[in-house]
Amino acid sequence: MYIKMKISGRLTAEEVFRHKSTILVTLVQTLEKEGLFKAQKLEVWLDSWIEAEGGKKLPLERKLDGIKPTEVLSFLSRLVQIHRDRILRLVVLVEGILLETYEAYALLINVPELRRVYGDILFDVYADVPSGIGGLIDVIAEMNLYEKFNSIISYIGSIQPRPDIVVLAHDPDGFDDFGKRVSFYGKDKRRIVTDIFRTIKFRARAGMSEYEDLLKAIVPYREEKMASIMFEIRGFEHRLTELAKSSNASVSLTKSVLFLGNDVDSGQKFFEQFMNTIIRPLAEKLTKIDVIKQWLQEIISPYRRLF
Amino acid sequence: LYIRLNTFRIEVLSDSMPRTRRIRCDEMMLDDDYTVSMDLDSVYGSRTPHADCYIHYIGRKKCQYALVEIKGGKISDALKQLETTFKDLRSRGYKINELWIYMHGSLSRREAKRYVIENDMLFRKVGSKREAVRIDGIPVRVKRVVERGR
Repeated sequence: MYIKMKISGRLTAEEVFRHKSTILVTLVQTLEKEGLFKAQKLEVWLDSWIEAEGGKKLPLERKLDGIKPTEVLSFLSRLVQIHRDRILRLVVLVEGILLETYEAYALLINVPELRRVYGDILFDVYADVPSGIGGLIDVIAEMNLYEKFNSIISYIGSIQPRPDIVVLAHDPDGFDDFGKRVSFYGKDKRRIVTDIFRTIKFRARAGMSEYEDLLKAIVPYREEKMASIMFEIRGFEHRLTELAKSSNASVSLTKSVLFLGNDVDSGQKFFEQFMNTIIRPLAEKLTKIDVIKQWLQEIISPYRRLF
Repeated sequence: LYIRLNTFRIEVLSDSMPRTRRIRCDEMMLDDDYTVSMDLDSVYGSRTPHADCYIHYIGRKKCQYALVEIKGGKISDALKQLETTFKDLRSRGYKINELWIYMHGSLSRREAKRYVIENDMLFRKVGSKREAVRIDGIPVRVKRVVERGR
């Protein structure tokens, strides 16, 4: 599970860290309340949580017997005060056991380079390939825990400070690729459309030739504007609900969007259906970038130079 | 080189190792020169992050002791598990002079912003430079694998 916040320029680094701490603690607490996870250890690292990557563990390790929110929050608050000068190097790691069987961990990432890859907060299971566990999604699929994790996602989406996006996905590519998601929460409901446009761009740039033509059609248009127009059309929300239902998922739209899948492939199925029923027919009618370029060519330099 | 791990049978696309030898982690099977010296699952149980196997083989000149992790999710997880087990085994007096990560497919696009694999070695991007990922001075090697059926 990957969580990303929108970092406002009006907030100080300390405030941002406190917001992230609140979300981390709430996430762990919710997982514990649902009887899924038990926190056992809290560690604070500088630069990364892996030494091989240049990470350094600070001598602040704490043994936990379940998370005590006020205690952990005050510890993290003191931590920020002490390490004010290196706040953008902090990583907080909470390790514990998921379902009394799997080694799991939650991370708070405040290092910009790592944040760009993994988001602000993540919760995952250490892989054990010989036993068939590659990550959290495998555990969810094996134990059929979709409902519990979906309720956690919707709860995390409702707390303050509100995360920008919460994604339940196979790997961090789930931020960019809708097809890799099982469930997600987006602060802005347009996200369900904008992320599909971004997935097309992502896949086309990854060299998937079937999306290259589509990219030419959609690239001149702003995703947010397209999404706003779609939401203005009566019946669009109903169509989304129907598409989700046939992908074994559900969508609820308020100001935000909650897409909750009940299947590992829910995101991919929804993406494909949305593509086939909306994007592909639309792309045929949109003016492609090559045509726009040609028009511009004619307008800007209508005469061909002879010499 | 073939590795059989419980239900997995995988072919390692690497010519640095002979292709005929086999290892079985689950049964600690001794096959040719490769020995799975320790079943790490029984040592650590499922409650501690750990690597998948510790193997011994006879290299060109000397014995090699390798710690192996099979990447399931993120490469960062694989590194963390490798690192934790490495430290623990070293503190118990075990020799380790090679570190391997076996990987299905390729890196996720987001992780590819941070890591590069070149010549079976794992590198970390630091600004415009690359730094080999090492655990206690030992470089981490990455071998790509193809699943051959279950």
